Amino acid sequence: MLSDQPSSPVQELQDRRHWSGPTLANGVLTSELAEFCQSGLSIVLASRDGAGRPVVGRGLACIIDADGRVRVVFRDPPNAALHRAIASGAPIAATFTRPSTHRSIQLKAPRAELVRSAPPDGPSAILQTRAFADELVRAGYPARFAAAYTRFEPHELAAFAFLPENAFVQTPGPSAGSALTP
Amino acid sequence: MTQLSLETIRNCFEGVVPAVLATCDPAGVPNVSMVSQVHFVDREHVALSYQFFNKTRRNLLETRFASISVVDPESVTDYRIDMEFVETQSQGPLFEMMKAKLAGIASHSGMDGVFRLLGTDIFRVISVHVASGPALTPQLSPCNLLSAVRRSWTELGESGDLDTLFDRTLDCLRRHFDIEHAMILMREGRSDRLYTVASTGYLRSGIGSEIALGDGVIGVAAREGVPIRIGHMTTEYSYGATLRDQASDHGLLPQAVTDIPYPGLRASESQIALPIVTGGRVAGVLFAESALPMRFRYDDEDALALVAARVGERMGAGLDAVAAQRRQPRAGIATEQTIQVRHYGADNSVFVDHDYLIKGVAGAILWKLAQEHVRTGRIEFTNRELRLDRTLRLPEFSENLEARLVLLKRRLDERACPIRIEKAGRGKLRLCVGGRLTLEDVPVNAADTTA
Repeated sequence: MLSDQPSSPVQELQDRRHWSGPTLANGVLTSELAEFCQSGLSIVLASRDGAGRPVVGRGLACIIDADGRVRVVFRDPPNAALHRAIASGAPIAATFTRPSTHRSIQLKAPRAELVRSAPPDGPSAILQTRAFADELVRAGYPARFAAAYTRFEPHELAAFAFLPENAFVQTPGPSAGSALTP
Repeated sequence: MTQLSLETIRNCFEGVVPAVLATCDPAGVPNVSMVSQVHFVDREHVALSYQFFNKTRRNLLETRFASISVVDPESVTDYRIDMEFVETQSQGPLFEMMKAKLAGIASHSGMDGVFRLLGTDIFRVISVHVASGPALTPQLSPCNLLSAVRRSWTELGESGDLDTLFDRTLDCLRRHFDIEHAMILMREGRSDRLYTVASTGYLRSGIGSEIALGDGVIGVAAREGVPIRIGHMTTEYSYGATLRDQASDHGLLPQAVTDIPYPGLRASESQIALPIVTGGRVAGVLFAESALPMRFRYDDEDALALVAARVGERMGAGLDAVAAQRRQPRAGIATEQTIQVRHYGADNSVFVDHDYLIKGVAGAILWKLAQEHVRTGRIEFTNRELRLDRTLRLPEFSENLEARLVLLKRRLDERACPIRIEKAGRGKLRLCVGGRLTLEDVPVNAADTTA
C-alpha cells in the first residue's frame, strides 16, 4: 500500500536495498516500483534532438509487461519533437511523480522504440489519467484544472517502449538523484 | 510561426503548476525533472530556482541547453521553451524575489525546509511555442489593471498634502484594484526600521507599528528595493513570528507598552510589497495582502509598482504633511483641564495622561512642541525650525519630517488625544491643546528605574 506521507529519497533507497520480492528489467525495477509507475502519475519525458540538445515531453500512461518493458502512451501532436527524437534512435528518460507525496522515480534507457498503438492503450490512458486527476485534486488543484490538465483525444494517442537500464530516485531532498540499486 | 513573447505567458511562471525540465549530459544522456519555480526576468530571460546540486545542475553547467514545458494554470496551455544557461546568481534583488516566492510554494506543497533557494539560474530563451491548448477559457479578471493605474495616477496627482496622499492611495487600491487590506510604511531615514503611517481594512489601524528592515515581504522589499510577493503564506515571512522574535531579541515582552501591534491579516495567504522610491532611495513600502492564495500576479505587481512610483514621485514634490483646517483653531478656547505629558529620553517615547502615544523621532517632535508651548505659549511652528533642530536628529531627507508629522497627527487623532496638530499655512503647523500641559521628563539614566 502506498503511503500518503511525504516520501524521502533516503527511504526510497533503503526500501530498494532491502527489497526481497520479485524484480523486472534485469533487476532495475521492483514489482512495487512497476506498480507505482502504472498507478496514475505525472509522467514527464526527455530525449535529445539531432543537434544533441534536450527535448522535453509529457506522457499520459504507462504499461509495464512481465519482462519489465515500459510502454509509455503519450499525446502525439504536442510531443512531435520527442517523437522525432525517439524515431532517430536517441536515448530516453522518463520521470514518474506522485504530487501528493512528491515520490518520484526516473527511468533511463539508451533507446526506445515507437510502437503501434495497441488496444490496451486507450483504457490504460483513461484509467491512469483519471487516477492522476484525482491525485491532483488531492494535492489541492481545482477539479476543473485537473480535468483539463489530463485531457486527451483518442486519435492523438501514440506509444513508445523501452527496457529501462537504470532507475533513480528523484524525490526532492538529500540523496535525490541517486541510482536505485539492490 | 509568430514568436510568442515571454511577457504574454507570465501566468505560467507563478509556480502553480510545476515545470518540466529536460537536460542532457556531455555524452547526450537526457535527464528530466520537475522544477518548482520558473521566474520571468524579462522578455528574453527566465530564471530557475536552484535548490539542490543534482544531475540537472551538473548537466546545465556542462552542456548549457535546456528544454522546458510550462503550463498556464488558467487556460491550461502547454508551452515548450528552449533555452540556454547564462549564469547563476546567489544574492541580490532577483534572488530575494525568487526566495520569497519559493518559500510560498514550499509551504503550499508541504516542502517547508526541503526547498531552499541556493541560487537563481538565469537562461536566455531561444524559442517559445504552444504544444497544446488552451484547454480552458480563463475566467474574466474582476478589474482592468491598466485602467486602474490610470485612474489612480490622476487621483494621486490631485493630493495636495501627504496625509491625503496616503489615504487616497489606499482608497484607490480599494476602489480600482479591489484590494481590501493594505498599508503604507515609511522608512526611518537610513535606519533599519519601517513604521506604518496608513492602513485600510484592519480591525486596528496599527499606525506607528514597526517592521524591521529585512523582515517579511515588507522588510525584504525595503532592503532590496524590489517588489516582493508571495502566493501562499509561510512562517518564514510571517510578521507575527517576526515581531515576537524582534521583541525577544531586545529582551522585551511581546506586549511591551510601547509596542503598537502590527495590524496585518491573521489568515493572510497572498502578500505583495512594493518599494516607494523618492529621490533614488527607498522611502517606504506600499503593501497589500489577501486571504486568497495567489491573489497577486505579475500583472498586479506591475500595476501596483506604478502606483507606488506615483506615491514616491508625489512625496518628492515637497507636499506639506497635513491639509489646512477650515475652522478656527481651538487653542484659544482651551479649558482648564490638565494634560499630563511624560517623555522618556531613552527612546523618545511620549505618554499623554499615562497612555502611550508615540516614540522615536515623532515622539521627539511632540516633546519639543509641548516644551516650547509651555515655555513661551507659542502654538504655531514652522517645519523649517523643526528640520533645523539638531536635538530632533532628523534624517537628511526632507520627506522624513512630513511623514513623521503625518504619523504624529494620526496617532493623536486615533487616540482622541486632547492635543492635536494641524496645518497653519504653507510650511507651518499649529499645536492645538485642549487644556493646560504639565510636562515630565524622564532622562535617559532614570528611565530604567522609572519606566
